[in-house]
Amino acid sequence: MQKIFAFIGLVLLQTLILNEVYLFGFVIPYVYIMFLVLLPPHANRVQTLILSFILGLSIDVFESTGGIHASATLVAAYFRPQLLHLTFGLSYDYQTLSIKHESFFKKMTYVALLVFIHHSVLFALEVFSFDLWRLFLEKLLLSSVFSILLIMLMMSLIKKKLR
Amino acid sequence: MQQIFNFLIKYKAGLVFIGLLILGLSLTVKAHDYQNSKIISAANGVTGNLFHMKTNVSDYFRLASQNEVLLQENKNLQEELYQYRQQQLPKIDTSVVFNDTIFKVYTSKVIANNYSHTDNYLLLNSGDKNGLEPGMAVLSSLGVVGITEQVSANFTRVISILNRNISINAKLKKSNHFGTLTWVGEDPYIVNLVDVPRSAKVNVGDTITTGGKSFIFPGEVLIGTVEGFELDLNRGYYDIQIKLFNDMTDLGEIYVVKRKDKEEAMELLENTEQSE
Repeated sequence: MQKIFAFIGLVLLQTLILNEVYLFGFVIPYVYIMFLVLLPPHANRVQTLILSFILGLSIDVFESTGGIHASATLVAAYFRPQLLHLTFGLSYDYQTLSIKHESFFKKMTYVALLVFIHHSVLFALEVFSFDLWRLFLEKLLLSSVFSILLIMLMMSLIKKKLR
Repeated sequence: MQQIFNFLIKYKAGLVFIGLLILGLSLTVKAHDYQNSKIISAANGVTGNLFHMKTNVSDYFRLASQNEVLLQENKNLQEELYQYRQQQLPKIDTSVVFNDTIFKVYTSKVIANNYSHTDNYLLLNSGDKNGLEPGMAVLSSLGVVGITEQVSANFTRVISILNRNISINAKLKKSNHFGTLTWVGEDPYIVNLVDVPRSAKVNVGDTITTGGKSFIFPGEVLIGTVEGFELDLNRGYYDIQIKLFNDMTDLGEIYVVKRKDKEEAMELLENTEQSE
């Protein structure tokens, strides 16, 4: 149930507010990927993949972008277990991980890696041309920075409320 | 058989991943292909209505700037009208003239606007019910905005001029040299005019308008001014950067223009192609 609320909330937040932000004229932070952070670390793998594909697709429908968000979110979701293992190590392997209680630095690394994978696929598919690699890097870098900042900010807000 | 099932169960996550990835990529490729871009788009009921609701709220914050634009447009129209009256001293029956025009103008409103992607689309809050069709010109009071593409009952999707798939016939206002308007995908204030012949005299600051050599756009609609240009020596054509008059990042009320004789002309073209 909570999952569904998070899902709908993030889609609305992304399409109605964040897609209008346009920092410096062209940078949009993509925060809906936070859904993958909110999912329990050991959530069913197949379910996670399908959910994230639908999440991406709903953003695509709003933005008329075909399937770029769907593909990007799917790829990020696929590599999620590896990223969790990489950043949290043993506590993930022994199924005792609770992201809420991890240190700020570890959380940040995890979010950053997730955002980086997602944004790389997203902008590569969007630009869709080798000639525009400079534009691709520019978008990737700037959007990533703001997405990571916003996700961390929202995570800390949610954490406060839970206490 | 048992082995196949075991395989499927063991790698189910990977298989789901690959299946969905192929689906996602094919949707992406389809969207990049303008010729058959029947993609799942914002021109449907749910998303359209959501954007509509949003615009109802956000409109209030843009009243001032929209007012400014309308005032400016009124001023331009007044000036043109005075000029017109000056020239046409013998009175003419305006009703006849207007019934006879080949262009029909609809008003509409942009409710969703993209400009940060490399292929951008807009969404209008009127559609089939209001008489819109695919392939009509979309203009603002300051210049060209795009072409209608997909029309549902209440909403219309527009290919913005900030889309790499668009190409519009345009010309230098003073010398009538034609070229093709395109966008490279970077700056929402700059578009490119390519294939302008070398014989044209281009200066920074020259005005660019639509060429009128198409069945979509009326001629002499303002587009922008020349910002810079290069001559491609190998091909003998100019590549001109144009600064748009239109602020594509702030669009509100717009006009959709239909050329009434388009069907007739298209039919004629098709017939000639068939008989060849």
